Amino acid sequence: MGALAGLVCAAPAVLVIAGALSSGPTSPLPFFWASVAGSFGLAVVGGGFAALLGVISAWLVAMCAFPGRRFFSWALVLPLAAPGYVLAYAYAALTWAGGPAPLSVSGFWGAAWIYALAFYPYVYLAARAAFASQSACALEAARSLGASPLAMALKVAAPSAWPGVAAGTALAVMEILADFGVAQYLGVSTLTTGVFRAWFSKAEPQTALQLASLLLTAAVGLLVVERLLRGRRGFAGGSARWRPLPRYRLGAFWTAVAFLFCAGLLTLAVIAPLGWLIRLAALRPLSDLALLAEPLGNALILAGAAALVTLPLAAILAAAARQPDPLRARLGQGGLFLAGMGYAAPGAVIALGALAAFAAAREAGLVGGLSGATAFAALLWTYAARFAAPGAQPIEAGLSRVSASLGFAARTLGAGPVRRFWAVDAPIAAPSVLAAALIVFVEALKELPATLILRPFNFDTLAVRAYAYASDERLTQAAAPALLIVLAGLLPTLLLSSRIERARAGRRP
Amino acid sequence: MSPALALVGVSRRYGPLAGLRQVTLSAPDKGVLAVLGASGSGKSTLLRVIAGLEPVDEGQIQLSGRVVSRRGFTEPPEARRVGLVFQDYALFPHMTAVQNVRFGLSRDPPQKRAAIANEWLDAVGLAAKANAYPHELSGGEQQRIALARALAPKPSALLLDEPFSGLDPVLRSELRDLTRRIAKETAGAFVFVTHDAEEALFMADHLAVMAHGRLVQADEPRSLYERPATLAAAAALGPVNQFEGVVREGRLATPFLDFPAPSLTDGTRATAVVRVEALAATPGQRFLVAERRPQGARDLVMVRCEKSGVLWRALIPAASPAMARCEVSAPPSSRLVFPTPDSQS
Repeated sequence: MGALAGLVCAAPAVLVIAGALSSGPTSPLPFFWASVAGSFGLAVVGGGFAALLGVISAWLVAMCAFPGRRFFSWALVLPLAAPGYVLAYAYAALTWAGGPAPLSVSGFWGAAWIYALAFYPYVYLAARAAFASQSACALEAARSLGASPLAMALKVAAPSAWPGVAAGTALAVMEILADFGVAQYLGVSTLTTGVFRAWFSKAEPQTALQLASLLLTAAVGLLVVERLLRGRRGFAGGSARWRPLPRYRLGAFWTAVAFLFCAGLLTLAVIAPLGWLIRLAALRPLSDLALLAEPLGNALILAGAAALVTLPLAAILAAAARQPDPLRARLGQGGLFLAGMGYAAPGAVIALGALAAFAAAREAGLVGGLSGATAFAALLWTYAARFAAPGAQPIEAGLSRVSASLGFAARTLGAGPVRRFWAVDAPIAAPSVLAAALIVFVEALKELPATLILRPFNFDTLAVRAYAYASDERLTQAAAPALLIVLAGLLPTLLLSSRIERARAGRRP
Repeated sequence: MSPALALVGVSRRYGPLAGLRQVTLSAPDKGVLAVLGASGSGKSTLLRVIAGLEPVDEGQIQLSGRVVSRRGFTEPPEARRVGLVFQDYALFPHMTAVQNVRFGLSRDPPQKRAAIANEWLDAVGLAAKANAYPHELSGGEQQRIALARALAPKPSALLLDEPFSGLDPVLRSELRDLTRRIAKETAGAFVFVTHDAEEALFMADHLAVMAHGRLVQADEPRSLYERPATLAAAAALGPVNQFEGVVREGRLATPFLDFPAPSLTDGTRATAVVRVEALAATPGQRFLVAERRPQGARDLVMVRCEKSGVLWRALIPAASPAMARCEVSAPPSSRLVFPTPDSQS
């Protein structure tokens, strides 16, 4: 079951590679190499910058004591609520498109800047968790041996945290490669925008498939790296006893530096861009809201349908990976990995794969043309393929709360399988299933490239509308739909933040 | 009358490892069978096969004369009426204390369930906490609820898996008393698994020592303590002094004492064993007192035989006078000799 569900998720990606291979060599279009260079450069510069911001902020928040630390600890996650393209629109509005700041956030460096601000939380979360899970005893030992904060950071904390940091960076780079909205809007040639250009403007499906499979290879490579590193994160371990970490009390100067760093980061990544969007939205007449009713309704319907389709898939994946039988569990883990491939693949790539599948089905006479209904089905499949893995994660965590001994206890108390499910497993896992539904819902709401490719004609969602307004240089009108997306994104972000805070190592669950 | 619980030649294999090998054991009604063993001795597997969470590969298990497990047949745990109390309590986190206790009462008529649950909460002294959720209860209270929950459906056997290991010493002794009292008043066998020798001796009406999947010895706790059948059984029940040597003229000489070994032929390699608490030290000349440390009412002394370098431990009353050298003695019945297993093969 689990392996099957994984296949459903990975199928579009596999179809893309198959399509690219079956085409044979073609002479690449002129923008092929520019796309490769653009993606590579952005991955290195944007990813590196995101890693730097993430590690420094995580170190300050996890290991030092300064005013506002607790607030920053959760607030620094907030950029995750805003998709990259919203941040790009906001910065455009703030700077070159008539804004107050005399800068030009555009082109390659503009995109790298946006990526760093949008995706540093991936590194921040991983690094914070890694720092926080270190044994307090090891750190106390280091301090009692006379290590300064810097020495402690370099010699004790950093070596034990690096697998986490690297895994978080891999996630951030994965997001950078998958991004379409930012690069498109700021005019950078990347693999994802190349896929779009080749598919739509130049009508070069083979080049599109080739670019897509290149993207996919990179994404799967990053995924493998991330999984391997995540498996090694445990080595911070040591004493499982929970104790508040011994935080460094900073002197006046360094307190100011730490505070200003966190406050500055938060201002640049959240307060300034979103504040400016709010100001822009407030400039528009209220009648604008009426125009948003339809895309909002569409977005809610689409995201709701995505959650309905994806949840069973995610539940099967999660349950299969937790089978007691080791062989079946291995199969289930394989399914989870396949689903992870679907998640790692950019939306544009998955959408192409789904299109290819439907095209093949049409040739075989199984379905008619790409009408509204088939487009809708293809879109839902794309969402399911992309978001089954992130949805499976909380469900898996929830199922792990139903410990084996609870099941045994229920059995010895005379409860059969049906009663065990309804009276024990289901109520304990319910909050996690809700969390999974929320994550899938919001991810689908934010998704841009696949929605652009596959949406039925004239079917606009919030993301599509924001994209269309921004592309037409009507940023003031783009502000309101963009803000609605951010508002929806806040919920799962806060949920994620609080869950990670609670999951401190050694603490009783 | 058949015993409440009986295992006859039960084996359970995990691949090449033996989980249980040919275990034959029975537990009386209204009594506590304590199973003592280190981790990996098979004692947890024993509980799991009795509960029906695992099948047996050989032999059979009977509850009040009814066969519940044999090769190819395992009555499922939900049908066999065996209660299980876990080390981690395993209370349902989304149910209150009284809901947890009521969970197993589905066989009783609905109108009686509340009364039965309240009776059991009363029995464990937690009637006041009936509506508390597990996370609002202390460890000891959670363990009491787990006990009440397992007992409420009137199981034919109650299995307790290291139930007190997460508790502090005061709570631990309170719960030991409570559990023993309930066991005496309740029909069915209590099977209590632990790695703590002192706890096993305290709890047991009948004591079984396990090692490497095998039953080493089973007897009344006092006889097992005083007359262990093997070195392993002797060492399992508390700290011992040992000396390995060869039997000559019906006795085994150690640097400290002679041990009578009338049943062993001369030339047999054997180990002399005496419990630390059975060895007494009195002021004398023969041995050096290497160290003396207080241990509550008694002091632990390290006694060295300078000629051989062998060091033994003894317990003496804390009030004994200071001494630099000493003489040692042990009652004849406490001097045990076991043939070294290799010498017979």
